[in-house]
Amino acid sequence: MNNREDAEDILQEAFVQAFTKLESFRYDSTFGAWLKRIVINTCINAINKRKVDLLLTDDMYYFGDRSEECDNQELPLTIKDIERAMSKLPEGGRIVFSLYLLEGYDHIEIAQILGITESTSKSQFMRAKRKVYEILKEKYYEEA
Amino acid sequence: MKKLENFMREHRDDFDSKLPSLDMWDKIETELEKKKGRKISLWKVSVAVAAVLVLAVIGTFMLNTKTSYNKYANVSDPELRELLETEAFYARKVSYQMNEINKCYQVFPELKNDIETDLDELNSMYKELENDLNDNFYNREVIEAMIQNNRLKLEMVDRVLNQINC
Repeated sequence: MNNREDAEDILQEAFVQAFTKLESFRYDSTFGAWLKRIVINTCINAINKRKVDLLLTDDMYYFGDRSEECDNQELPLTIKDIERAMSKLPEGGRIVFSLYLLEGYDHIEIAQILGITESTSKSQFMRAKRKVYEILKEKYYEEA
Repeated sequence: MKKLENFMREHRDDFDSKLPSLDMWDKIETELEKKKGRKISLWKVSVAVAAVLVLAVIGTFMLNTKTSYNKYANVSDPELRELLETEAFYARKVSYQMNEINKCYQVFPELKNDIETDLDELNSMYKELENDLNDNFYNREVIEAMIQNNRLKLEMVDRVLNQINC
């Protein structure tokens, strides 16, 4: 959700929903996975309600020449920097990025959750990852 | 960039640093309570609506059976249905003959008293049988008695009509 207040609202909504729909839990997955899916779906619904065009954020990132040359260099990575970079991602890309890397879904599952194609999920992930990398690098160069 | 991915996978747990506020459970609980309250009242309303509907259906059903007991379409036993059909046939015939005899009353006014005392008895018996039928829900003996009753009426009316020949 990219902001604590919204995240807590969603958490509450999702848990209330989960408890009231407890009988619809089919035991074909673990309870944790089921609950996770409810939370994620609630998030996605809320984000959709924000009227933000979910995926297909066609904003092209400018890939400077620098990106290639310093790919081999050591780029210091910290959790905090990555989180900050992620928060700067466009909504759709951020969702795919965190579903893939943090929530551990594969592209087939993400495609199913978001109602997109697998290849869209893949390309969105690639873009988001590149963007995160760009942001990290920018910060590194700024500080340097 | 591969490194970024690996780094994130390796340090996956560190990304879970943000914890929800401590009062989240309370919030969820109160929200659930609210939902529960609403749910019960909704449930009650739907039960009330259903009860009214059931009563209405039963009521109309009872009215239907009372006013038109010989709507025998829903009688499953074919023998019973045949009996009911026969009864209806006789009832129609009787009412037709009664119309005929009513015309004769104008010619032979003295007939009216004679016939009607007899007929009244049969008619009251018939009424009783009708009530029995409603109470007993298509009892064979009742229907047979009704047919018998109608036959008697028919015989009587026929005889009278033959005699006076009007």
